[in-house]
Amino acid sequence: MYFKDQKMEINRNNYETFFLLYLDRELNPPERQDVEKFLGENADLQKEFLLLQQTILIPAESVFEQKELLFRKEEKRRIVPLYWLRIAAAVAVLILGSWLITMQINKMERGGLAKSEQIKNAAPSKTSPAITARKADQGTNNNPAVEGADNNPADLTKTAANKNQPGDRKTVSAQNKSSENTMSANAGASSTAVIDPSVLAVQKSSVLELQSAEIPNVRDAKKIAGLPGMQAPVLLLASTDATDPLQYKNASSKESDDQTEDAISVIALNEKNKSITGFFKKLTKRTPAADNARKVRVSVFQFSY
Amino acid sequence: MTAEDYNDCVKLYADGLYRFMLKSTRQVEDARDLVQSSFEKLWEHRTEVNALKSKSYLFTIAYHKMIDLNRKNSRMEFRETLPDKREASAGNSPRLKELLEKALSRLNERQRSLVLLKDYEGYSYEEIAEITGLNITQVKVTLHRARLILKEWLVSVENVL
Repeated sequence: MYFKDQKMEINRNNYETFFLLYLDRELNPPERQDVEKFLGENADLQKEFLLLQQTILIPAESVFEQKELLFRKEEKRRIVPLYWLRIAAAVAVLILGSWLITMQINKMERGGLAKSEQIKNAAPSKTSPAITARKADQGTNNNPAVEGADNNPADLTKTAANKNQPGDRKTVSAQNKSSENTMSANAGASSTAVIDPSVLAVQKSSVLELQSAEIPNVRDAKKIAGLPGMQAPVLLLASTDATDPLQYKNASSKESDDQTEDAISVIALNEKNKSITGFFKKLTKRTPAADNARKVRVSVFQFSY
Repeated sequence: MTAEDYNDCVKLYADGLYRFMLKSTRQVEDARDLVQSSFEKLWEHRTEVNALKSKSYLFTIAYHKMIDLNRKNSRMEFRETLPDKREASAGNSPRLKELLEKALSRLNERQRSLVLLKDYEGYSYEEIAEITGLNITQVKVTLHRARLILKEWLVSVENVL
């Protein structure tokens, strides 16, 4: 094996190397046979071979007694549970949330009372765009905003303006139908909130109250506050991006073209039930690739105080 | 290699490596330290070492550590003070084994290491070359010289006795 690249044969001049290679097991079987044959033919060299064989050390038994010092284990990264941190974070969120809600309710109560005083002293003139839309659906549908709203079933206000007939039940059903259409049109279920009919009822009643009430001259819908002396639910705020019916129509058109986002928010204060009900709807733009795809986010909330 | 492979190496090779170091250094404490430091290095580099070559890796580390230690301590002179607790094995007389153990002192460090790697661990010339960093011809020549030294010493002792 050692001479695999060298064609050498054992002879009396090189036998010592072959003997050592033989004893070191570095020869392949044919080479070993050659050595054994040579030894048989040269008996005088057998003593030499035995002497060299005696130089091979016999493995001694040695035991390393302290193997426990050598054994190892993979050190797993210790994960310190931070339960206390989670608890602290949860408590902090709860406290902050409670404080914010409380502050918001107090602020709305104060703002509502103050604005109701302002409205009480103000001379009635124009209605807000959203209220105009609601008023129009009871009657002749003369408002251009209402006409322009026909093509957008997802817009709750416009839907109500377009489809609602006089009467509470139909208004509610129209709103629900609009919501259902909205939800069915929306591919992402996570962005659609389930509308509680009772909440809608409260909202509807507030709308009706507004329709029947004399609305003061407040162009900006956001400035509408609780109506004076109302024991029934009061519409606190109704807003869109537009500030008058014409602009509202344009906003609707733009919404149809999916160039802008419009949001409608309605917050109703029900002093009888000591509750605040809110309704938000937001249209997001439609993707160019899918013409029918549109996202409508509807959120409804109710606070009791 | 995994931690399990490493621990298998401890079971399989710790005794052999200790014997190699003990016969090379003739110092129990040095042999233990060299074994521990060699396994320590194997553990540190376990992810880079193929489990199939772990024994060669261990002996390579130990061999070079032993060379470094001897150079550091200038302990080139072989000591014969190690008590031999070996049991006699069939085929060789205790007397011959004792003589051979003493004969190792006649060898230089490289010769002794190569004889130990060859006879105790059964490495081939090629494997010894990898462990020691020598080429195969150097291994062969060194080993053959060592054998002849041992043979001459055995002949001389037998003649005296």
